[in-house]
Amino acid sequence: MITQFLTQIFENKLILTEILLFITITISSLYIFKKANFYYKLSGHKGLKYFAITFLYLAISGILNFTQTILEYIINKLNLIVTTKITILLQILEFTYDYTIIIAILLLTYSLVWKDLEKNKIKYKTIILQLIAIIIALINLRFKFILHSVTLILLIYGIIISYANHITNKTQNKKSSFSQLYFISLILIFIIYLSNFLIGFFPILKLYGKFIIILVFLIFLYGAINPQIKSNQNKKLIQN
Amino acid sequence: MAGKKRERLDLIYDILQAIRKSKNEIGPTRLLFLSNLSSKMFKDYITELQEKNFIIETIKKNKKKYSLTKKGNEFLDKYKEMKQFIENFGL
Repeated sequence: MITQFLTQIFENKLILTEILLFITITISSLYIFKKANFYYKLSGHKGLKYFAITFLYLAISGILNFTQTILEYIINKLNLIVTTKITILLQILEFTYDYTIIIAILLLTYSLVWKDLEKNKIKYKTIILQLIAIIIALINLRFKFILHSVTLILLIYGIIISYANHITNKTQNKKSSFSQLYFISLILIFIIYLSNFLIGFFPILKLYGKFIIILVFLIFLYGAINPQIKSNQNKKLIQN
Repeated sequence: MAGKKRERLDLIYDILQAIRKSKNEIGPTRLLFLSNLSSKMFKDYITELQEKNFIIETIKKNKKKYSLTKKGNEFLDKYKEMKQFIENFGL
């Protein structure tokens, strides 16, 4: 029975993509979290702090999404009776996943604008962001459009800010070609969220969407690894 | 850096780099001159760097001297990498 079940998994493209997505999101997010957290502890730079927490939440969201997908797959394949306990478990998973996604996007946006906002010296910023995320996730249990709407608005804002950062880098002749890739990645995430509305009509979009998410996380991972590679190359050049 | 406002991280880097270039031992007057800061800002930064364990203050022949700690050296080694990371993600 187990062998048959595993064969079915490997024959199912969507489940295979989910496994690939889970591995990519979790590994890249944990790596970026570890790196940003290390730099934050060394420098005390607050943007790094918000960025690090963003990726910790994204890693958790990756695990939750995978657990939810696999559970639903097992229930469907084995024709299990969905008891009240299973329904509650699935709803808790869904709520926690929604919450981690919203708080991650809120913190990602905040990491781009913290310099301007912290001049106002608003207290308990992180707690306020957490509360907003919990409220949105709760509303989303009943009104499913709210998560997508908020995410889309935040992403538009993030895209504008990252584009402005890219232009600033360009005018200041900074050597960061990655700022352009980062801006493109945010546009890709925006397209995925927008296409999520259309998935009901075109299920194939779901598969393509997952591949784009994998690509985006690999771009993020490149952005986190690239400074270390460049620094090591420079050190070798100096030594030679 | 001329003509452009230095950011907090750059200022810390300049102070620590000045100490490293002076064979890891420098007096406050020379360090103030090399870091190119107002005396008020210089005092604030030196206090912060001591609190964060980036530098230590010693007294030699009745004169104050500043030296880098292991953490201060690590900051200098990782500075460019860290700056690139911050620029990459627009933080």
